[in-house]
Amino acid sequence: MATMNYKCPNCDGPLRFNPDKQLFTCEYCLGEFPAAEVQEMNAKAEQRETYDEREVKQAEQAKQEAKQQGAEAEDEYPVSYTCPSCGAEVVTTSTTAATTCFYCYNPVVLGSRLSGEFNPDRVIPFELSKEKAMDRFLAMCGKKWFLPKGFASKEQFEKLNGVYFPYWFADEQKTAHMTATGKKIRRWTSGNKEYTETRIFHVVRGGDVTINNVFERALKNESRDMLQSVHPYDMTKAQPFAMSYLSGFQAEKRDLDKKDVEPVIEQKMHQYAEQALRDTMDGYDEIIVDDFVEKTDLSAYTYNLLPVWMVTYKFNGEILPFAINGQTGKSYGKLPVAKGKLVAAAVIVALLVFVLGTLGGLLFA
Amino acid sequence: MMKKLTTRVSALALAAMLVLGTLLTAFAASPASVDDSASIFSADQKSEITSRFDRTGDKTGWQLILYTSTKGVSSGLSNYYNQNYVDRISHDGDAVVLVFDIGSNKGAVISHGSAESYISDERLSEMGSMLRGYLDKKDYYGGALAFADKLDQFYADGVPKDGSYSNVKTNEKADNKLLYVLSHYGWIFGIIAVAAGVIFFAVNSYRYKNLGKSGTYDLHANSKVDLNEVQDDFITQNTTVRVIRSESSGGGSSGGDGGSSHGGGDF
Repeated sequence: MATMNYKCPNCDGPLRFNPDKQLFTCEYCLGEFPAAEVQEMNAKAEQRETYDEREVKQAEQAKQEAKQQGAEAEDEYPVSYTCPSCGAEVVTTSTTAATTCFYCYNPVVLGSRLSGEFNPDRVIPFELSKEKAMDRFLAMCGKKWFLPKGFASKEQFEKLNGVYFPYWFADEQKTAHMTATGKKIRRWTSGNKEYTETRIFHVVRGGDVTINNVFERALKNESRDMLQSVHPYDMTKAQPFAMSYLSGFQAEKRDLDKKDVEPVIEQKMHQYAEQALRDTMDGYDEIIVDDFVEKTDLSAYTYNLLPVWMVTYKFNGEILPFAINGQTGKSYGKLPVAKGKLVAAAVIVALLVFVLGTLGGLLFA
Repeated sequence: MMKKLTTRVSALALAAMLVLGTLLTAFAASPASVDDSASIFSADQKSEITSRFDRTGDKTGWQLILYTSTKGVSSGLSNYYNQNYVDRISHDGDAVVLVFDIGSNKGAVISHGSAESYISDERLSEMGSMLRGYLDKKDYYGGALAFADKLDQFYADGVPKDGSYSNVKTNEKADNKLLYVLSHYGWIFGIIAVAAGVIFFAVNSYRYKNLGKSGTYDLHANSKVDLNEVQDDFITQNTTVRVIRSESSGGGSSGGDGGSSHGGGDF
């Protein structure tokens, strides 16, 4: 696969995916092209492997082999490519699959990162443009009273980057069986006596449980909290993977295999299956699960790229990440707190509570 | 910005203190008096008693008041007359009121302000026993003069070192409710207020540092259950009974305990 940049068939300018229009647009001639058309136009080019890329691939393979033989090697290391637009050297990390040339600012997709076993099954294209992501973020900041002055400004988030992050998703069908003790409790009062009637049931549920879209990040070096917390995504809008969607964004290649995330996902699957079956035991005031067994009948793992707008900012010497779901706009991050404002508000709350307590005391004294 | 905020908070705190302080007002002074509603004294006797009370008043700084009534209150005279008489007249902060209820042939001594500290439970009891003798003899005039003599003696003896003051404490809240609430429960409200402030600070700090961590997976939307075995078999049942304690069995009815704080006792 090639080091690609997607060019406008009219003027040869770079094409970028436009989340608002869900079309590829050329910023020079303003031409607009549907995703299918761009994919068809570039299908052959995507298959071509350049000399440049073959060299990089060979270097990576050598590194992997050395690592397997016990040699010390970093998980991430710099790799250089030649920009197909201007010929400049593009330096990326070993997991970067799409980026922008630092010289000509044209989008570059590094096809080899996403080929073979690293070829994603699905991708959710960005639905939220950078402007909309920033607006959502600033609207959210408007509701936060204790942010430092000047924090919630457009300038602060000009460097917002659209990144496709890799995730493993799993769907499973299980046969599950649960036995439990259910209690129905009824209370009533007669005269000066309160009666509590407890009826106890033996409850059994068995059947097929399907659990979908259980996810786990597929990139070990990024903050797990951040990658997990930008969810949920609407996976019904996922598209079969096409490299062209990455044009104009950054993308990361997975560095965690299915076997690495399987134990975590299976544990979640077990919990979810138990909860799903437990939820069918309605009408009881209390349920005590006595036994739960499940067997996985069907299991399917897929490798997906999901869109995230992200930025890091420095506050009081600390570098904090901030991420916005590129589909729904859900935000995740560590917001800085103006401690002075928060302390003042806490003092006011304490004073109010004291005055209210005193007034209450006056009423009942 | 921070300075402005601090100034505003300080101003708010000061304003709150001023409001509370304004409510903590004290009494003002006035001379001795005899209010003979029961008409048991002659004009001369009233004059004698007034001048005798004034002498004690000059010495002690207390306002002495004699009130006679035909209401026939048989119990709780000190509370009753504190609410229904003493609080209605404009009296000094430091005052001692002697009440003769002719209807029930009972009496009460009600003290206010600094006089309260001189009239301990023991001295009140001593005074009550003495006045009881005069009441039994229907010698109200003699009782009034003896009352002034006794007060002179109490004043001369000073504040008792080991005196108990249950008569004062029981009515403390009636004098100035705010002061009573603050002095008795202020520390509790203080602790609750500080806790509320700390919780407010901690919750907001946590929320800012953990924005968007929840609600990442919707099990309901991502799961489907096809049941092929459903059993709900009744096994057993039991019923427990709890006797509800009657609230009215705990104590007598609570009457109004309004009026100003006073020391006092009946005889």
